Amino acid sequence: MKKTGIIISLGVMLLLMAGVSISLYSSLNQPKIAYIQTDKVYNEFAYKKELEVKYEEVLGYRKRILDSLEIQINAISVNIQNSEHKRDENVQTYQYLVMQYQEKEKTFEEDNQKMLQNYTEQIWSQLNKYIEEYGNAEKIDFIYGANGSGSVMHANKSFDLTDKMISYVNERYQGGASK
Amino acid sequence: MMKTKYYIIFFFGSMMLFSCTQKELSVKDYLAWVNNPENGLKVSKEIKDYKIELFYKPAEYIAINEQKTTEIDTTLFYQRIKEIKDFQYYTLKIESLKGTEMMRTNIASEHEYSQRLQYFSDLVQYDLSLEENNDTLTCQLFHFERNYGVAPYNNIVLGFPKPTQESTKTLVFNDQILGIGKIKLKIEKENIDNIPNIILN
Repeated sequence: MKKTGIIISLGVMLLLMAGVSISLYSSLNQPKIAYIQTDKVYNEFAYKKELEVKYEEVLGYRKRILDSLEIQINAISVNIQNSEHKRDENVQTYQYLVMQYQEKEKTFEEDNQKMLQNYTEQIWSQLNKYIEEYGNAEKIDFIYGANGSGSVMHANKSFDLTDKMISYVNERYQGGASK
Repeated sequence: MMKTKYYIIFFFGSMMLFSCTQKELSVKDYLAWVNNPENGLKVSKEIKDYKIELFYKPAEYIAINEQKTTEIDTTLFYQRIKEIKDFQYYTLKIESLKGTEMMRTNIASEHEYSQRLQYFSDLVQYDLSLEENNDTLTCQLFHFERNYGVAPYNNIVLGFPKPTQESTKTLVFNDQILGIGKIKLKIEKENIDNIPNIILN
């Protein structure tokens, strides 16, 4: 009777140990997962804010050039309509200015587009690198980007690394040491 | 009991004294210490296909290296220190992570190569500054070392005016040609404070 009891308790212990080992093994092998709100990280990235200001400045400067050309065109147009004095000369100047305006408008549009594309590339190349560094240092296997486009439909808030990531990427951008 | 108390005070006192004393190293060990990235005088970032590394070179390091021997002529050493002490010196190393010549990484034509060469030989100076003590210092000494493709990196030697008081230094490289944008590299004040003294012959 006593022997059977010992065998049963030994069996139970073995089963318990096996259970603990299996759960430990599976937890060790489970990938570490986290997610960040991509838009928030992007918008809070200091370099993005800097480039945005720079972009707006250039845009404003270009707009002022176009505006002053437009004022000149309007003034000459009024002159042509109201006076016969130097009409032909004014028409020629008007045509020249309109051509200049169209040319500049087109060039500026192209340049703005190119500049925006360059800036976006520069921002993402730095962001991606810092996110990768963070993931490696924290031994995270997957960092998902939740941006509302459906790539992550639901996630437990405890896996949300957004705020930590924002401080890390900004610290790194300012030249702080990597993790 | 009283004796134990004295021992404890003595132990902590000597520990504090020890931690405040700056290390002293032989010339060989000093060079190795300064060159070791773990000591924080070499910091780097990898962005896209490039590694940008900043190396803060103390005046003593430069004076030793110029003699090209570990048997230092102290007169020459101190004389040189006196000559260069008003500036702070750095080497900015730009390396291609593709293992190819940095000047030709990601370029499509010879024209782009010429543009890059012109940028690094001349114009990059205006895209480099040093932020220190809430001040932005412009680059005063600048030399781009051409190596004609024998290594996947190029060095740019930089000099900025030296402030009266050491503080954390941030080099800003506002790249206009590699497509990596603005890069900031920081040398912490504590790492500069930790630079060991040299035991000269």
